[in-house]
Amino acid sequence: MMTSVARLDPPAAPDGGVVTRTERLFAGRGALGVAYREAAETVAKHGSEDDTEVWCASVSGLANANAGATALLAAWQLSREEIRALGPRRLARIIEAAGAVCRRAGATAAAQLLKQAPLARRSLRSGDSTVTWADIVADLAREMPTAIIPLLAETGRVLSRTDLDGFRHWVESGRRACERDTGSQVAFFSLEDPAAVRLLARSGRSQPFDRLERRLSPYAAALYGRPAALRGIEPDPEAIVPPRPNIAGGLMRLPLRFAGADEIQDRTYHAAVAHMGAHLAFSRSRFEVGKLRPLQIALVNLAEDHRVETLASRALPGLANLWRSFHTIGADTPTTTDNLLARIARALADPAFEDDDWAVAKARALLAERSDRLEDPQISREFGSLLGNDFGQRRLQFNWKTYAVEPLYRDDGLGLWEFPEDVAPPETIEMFSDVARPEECSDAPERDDGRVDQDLEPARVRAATREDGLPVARYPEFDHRTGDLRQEWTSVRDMPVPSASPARLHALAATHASVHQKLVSQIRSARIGRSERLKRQPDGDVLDLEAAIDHTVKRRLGEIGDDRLFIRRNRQARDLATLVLLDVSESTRDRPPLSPASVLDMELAATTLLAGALDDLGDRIAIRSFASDGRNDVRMARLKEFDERLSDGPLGRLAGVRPGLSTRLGAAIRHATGEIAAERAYRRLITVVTDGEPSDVDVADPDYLALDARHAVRAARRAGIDIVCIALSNAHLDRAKQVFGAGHVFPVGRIDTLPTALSAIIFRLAAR
Amino acid sequence: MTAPLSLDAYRITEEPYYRPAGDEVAVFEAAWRERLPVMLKGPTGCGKTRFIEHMAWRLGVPLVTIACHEDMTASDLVGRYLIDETGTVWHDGPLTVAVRHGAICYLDEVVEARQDTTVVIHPLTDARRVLPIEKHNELVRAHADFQLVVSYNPGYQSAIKDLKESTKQRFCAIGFDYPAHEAEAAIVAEEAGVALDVASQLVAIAERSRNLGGQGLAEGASTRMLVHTGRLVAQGLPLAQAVDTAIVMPVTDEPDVRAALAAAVEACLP
Repeated sequence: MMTSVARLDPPAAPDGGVVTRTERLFAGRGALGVAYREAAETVAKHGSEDDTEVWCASVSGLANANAGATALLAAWQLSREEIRALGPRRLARIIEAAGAVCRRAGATAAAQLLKQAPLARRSLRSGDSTVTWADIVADLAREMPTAIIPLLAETGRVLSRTDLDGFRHWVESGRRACERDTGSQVAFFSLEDPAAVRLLARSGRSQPFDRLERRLSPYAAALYGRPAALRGIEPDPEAIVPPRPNIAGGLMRLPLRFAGADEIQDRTYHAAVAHMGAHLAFSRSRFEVGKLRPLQIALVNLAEDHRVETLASRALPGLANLWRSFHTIGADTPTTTDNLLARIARALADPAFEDDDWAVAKARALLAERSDRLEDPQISREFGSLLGNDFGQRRLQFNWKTYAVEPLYRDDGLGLWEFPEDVAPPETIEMFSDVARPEECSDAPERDDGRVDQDLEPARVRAATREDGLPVARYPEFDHRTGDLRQEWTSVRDMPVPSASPARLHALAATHASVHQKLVSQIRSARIGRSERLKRQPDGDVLDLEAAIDHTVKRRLGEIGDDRLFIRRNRQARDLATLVLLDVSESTRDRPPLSPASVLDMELAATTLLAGALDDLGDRIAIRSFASDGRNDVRMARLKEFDERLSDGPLGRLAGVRPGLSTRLGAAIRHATGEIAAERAYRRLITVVTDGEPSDVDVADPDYLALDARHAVRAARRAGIDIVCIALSNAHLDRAKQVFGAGHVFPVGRIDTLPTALSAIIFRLAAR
Repeated sequence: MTAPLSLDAYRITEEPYYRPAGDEVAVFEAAWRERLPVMLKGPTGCGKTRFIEHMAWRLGVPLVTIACHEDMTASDLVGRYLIDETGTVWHDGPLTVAVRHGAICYLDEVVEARQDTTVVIHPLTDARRVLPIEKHNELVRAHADFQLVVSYNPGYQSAIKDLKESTKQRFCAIGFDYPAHEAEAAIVAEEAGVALDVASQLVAIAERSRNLGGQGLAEGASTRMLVHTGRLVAQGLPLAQAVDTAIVMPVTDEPDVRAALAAAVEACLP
């Protein structure tokens, strides 16, 4: 989308330069002309002649896009105000983007873009980023013109929550999520859609929580001997205080990022997990709220935090050091309730901390009196009520809504309380409802971070049945533009298979009997299996000691010894499971040039022959066909099962296959991978038989499905599954090579070249 | 026939350090008196081998140890003909030596051996107490002092590596596990020559890693690992470095698990 500046350079015009022409455009148009001259002079002052020409060209381009007075005035105002920050060239590019927006989404949208540009520049803190921002908006305008005004109206909110990459990513997600529905486009880009807010919050830099989650869970398990379930807390844009960790129904919930510098994130997460783990290990029963006031609750929490940390540190002394390092508040901070609570926390954690405030001294004394009862949570409650009364006499203000527990790593403490529904004082109820949250978070944070391992994650079975096929699984899809794995993006349905007379296939097999023979002998000789140690071989790498001794014994006895004296390692039995994935999309109806048969017929012939040969040898082979009609309708049919012999049943189903619809290859490969992964065989092979290019009705980008399929292919290979492509048309060979890798695509132009292709495949399998 | 082989080399003359965790010594002695085959079950490095060495010393019986492996054949156990300048000569395998001359034969990690190899012990483990040697055309009756003991780590169990039911059912079994905290600390202190408080810290660290068993680690740090760590400490290495070298690094290759374990180790050290 980056437009080259060179393109803007004015052509040499007979009637003077672009500057003159642009000036003439606005001359004699009253206020508009005045405003233009003012802006043009400012620009000229801040740039070279060339710069000015580029700027003029952009302005005249905007005028030619029928931008109208409002947009033009906005462009000039932007130019005057932002000339220092952006410079003429960048201004020109933003104005040019406004021109593009104008052509697609109208003059109001273009004016809006120009008016919001200064805000974008301030939020993004970079001139170049501002240009890119404008380009992204212009790009979106092409597909979703109605979304532009709502999007620009929220510029401040959007850019305050993400960076440029995040913005690009988020816009892309919105573009995908809404597809052609203008209503949902507006809802998304105006941030009315909560999903949009959530995606925005996660769109920026990868969050520390995501990075650390995998090590925090074993960390908690190692410390306390119980596995911990962790969840991220989605940022709440309305929240007054930054989120603190909390415990909900045995789950540890953690912010996606702790406020503060990157370097301390690791330590903070470890401290938080260790702290919450201590609660789960030692705060066994929950406190009754009773008549406690919020400040007393905060004090009980504080004492309980101290109590569990002390208990945990007995076995794990290093944790005390870790936790203590977060207490940074000084004794000289103003005596507000929040500060005082933090100072008490520090005083309890750090015996060396000196603080003259009597509340601090009293807190220490109260706990010291109870130090022999540390196992008893009741001491926290006593501490809270006693110290709370004293606080009350000091008339210190406490506002639960603005209170954030210190230090940073500690949980909000509400997981320690039982909130009764009827007897709680109104203030408590209010407090509780403010922070109410589900006991069990079933809404695991939306994974949008492209984790590779989830690619092969099976397949949640959905209950509903439909007469036209049973939905069996949902799979992610890889978006190469954002680098994201879109979770549960495609649905695979198991289609019923109509049967037809297998006579045609029998005839076909008869015609190609010689091919069949070649295949059988080739596969038979293929060494695809575990390696075995063969003893008493006529040759080999190691002497077979026993054979050698036997041989000598016999020689001494005057007999003729057996001279097979070696041990050889060999790949002996063929242990191979094959799944053939047939592309039966509409394009397979075509006939390749010079071919007497359609692609589908060739696919069926090749599959029948291959299956026939493997079946003769007793190898396991399954056959699936696939076609798709949009991401929610990937249709797969089970033509032959692994356990089935190639009888008239499977042949009839093969004969019954009819071409139609599109090719969503990635989803089909993911489904096939899941199926073959369950097979117990030394080598597992998916053979995709296709005419080439993945495509589907809901995808315009030709690279999108191919790169998704490539992602699925790589995931299958990582899982130890071989995957190759038999390409039946040379037209899309490059695409097939892009998806499967050049060495894994075997073009078969005519059926009689099938054995050649197959021997290449087998050679490849045996070579490894 | 070779001359009666002296099993003196297999006698254990000095008491191997062993600290009983329960009544395993009494149980083993009872089984010994009946010459019943015994299976020692437990995680790696928890003291199975040390226990059998200790018992052999205690009972004054030679101990023939065979580390089982995948390529081990029945001949490796029973014996084979070898050639010398005079001709062929039969050479007893270690199992036959123990059977013929009276020793405890200890098959370490018996599941590692292939199942068809393991069946040669069957006639020795029932009332017959004989070892047929087909190649040598001989039936060796077990010496009165012969006893068969195998060790077995159930943690390794998989579909491929498991004992045949017909093999399993021939043995009495004694379960082993890592000792309780104080006992294990005492063992580490004794074996590694470190102070008891250092040993206790090491055990605390091992307990953290054992919490991860099945959740990232196949098995936690063994007592043997702690002894190794302790020896590094005794050699003057700082504790944290010794732990990293002898526990954290060997026990896993998974970066996240290693990081989690390293953080947990830090939590254990003051």
